[in-house]
Amino acid sequence: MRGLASISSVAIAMGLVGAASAQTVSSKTMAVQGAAPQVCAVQSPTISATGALVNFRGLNGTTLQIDQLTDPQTLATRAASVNVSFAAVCNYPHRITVESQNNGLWRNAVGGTGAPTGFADGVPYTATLNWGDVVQRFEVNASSRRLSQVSVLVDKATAGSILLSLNIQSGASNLRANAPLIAGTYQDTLRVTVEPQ
Amino acid sequence: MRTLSLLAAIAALAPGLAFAQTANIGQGRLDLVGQAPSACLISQPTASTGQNATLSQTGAQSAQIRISELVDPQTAQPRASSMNVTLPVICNAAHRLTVKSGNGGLLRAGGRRGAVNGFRQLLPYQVSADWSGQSITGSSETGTPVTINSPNGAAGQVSLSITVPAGGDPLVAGSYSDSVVIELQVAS
Repeated sequence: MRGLASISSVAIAMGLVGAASAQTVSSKTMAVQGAAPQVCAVQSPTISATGALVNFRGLNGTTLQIDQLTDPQTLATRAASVNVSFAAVCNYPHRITVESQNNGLWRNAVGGTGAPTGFADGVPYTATLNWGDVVQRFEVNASSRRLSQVSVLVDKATAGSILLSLNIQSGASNLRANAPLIAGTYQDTLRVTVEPQ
Repeated sequence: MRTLSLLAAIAALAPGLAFAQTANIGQGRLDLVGQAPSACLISQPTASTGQNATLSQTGAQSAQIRISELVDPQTAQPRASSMNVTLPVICNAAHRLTVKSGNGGLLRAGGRRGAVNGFRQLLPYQVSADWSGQSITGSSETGTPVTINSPNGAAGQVSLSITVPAGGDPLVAGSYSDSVVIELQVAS
């Protein structure tokens, strides 16, 4: 009686094994290949559970409203702080950028006139970024009204939450500490971007 | 020999994709907003200079000017007196400053405005105010002797003067008083 021929199961491509050796098992192998493209995604912001919300009313969509910007006794800035998080993922080495549209909270001035002598019209603040292993402090200093940003290279795929800790100091102003603010609506827009290096 | 290959692309996507412009760029946005309301602040006087008059604080928002010698004791004619007060003011929007006289002048307690036998019962005085580059003088008899409109916010010192002129018809004996109210109002 002839012994069974040993079966070699290494298959490089699908196909019928040649019949010359009189196999007792025939197999097909399907090569499965996949490619994971580069993906970064950032979700809508939420107020982070960690840290106290001070002098902010909360998030309405992407709008974060300060409760009481000025002290009624001095008309100077009141302290405010909040931690905001964005669920995010980036599956390749990337760059994270935090951009401030106005470089501070600036008054929407009609006619673009500056503030009268003795008044401030811009409020500086700090935005501290936490993303994976990255910790980066962003001084939004209101020295002039312009685009400003910080950018950090992240050398690995990262998933979790982008945390922005915002802090407005008591008396903060673009003139001198505790200067009164000229009346008006003060605004800034922050954009957090994860993208290729 | 036939060959068959099967390719499967596996893409890992986070749930709730938002603001991504392309698959490999993600962006989040935060709009910060705060309101600085229009307001005026007046603080207590930082300086006062009186002639035949003294100033004393009677409350956080009130003071009293006391005229030392209202009339010449020989003639009952008014003596000159004056008081200048400096008040720190901050208004962070367009505003109006007014100074109003309650009685139109120093009015005798229990008396009427009209003269009696050549003796007066109402002694008008001058009010002056310097503020925001403007200087206005008016008589207490008008009721609102001073109005200053400022189209912008301003911070600094208001210089307020009350001047009682000497001479004129003598005064009926009695106690004379008036209330002077300085008011700052933001334009609505």
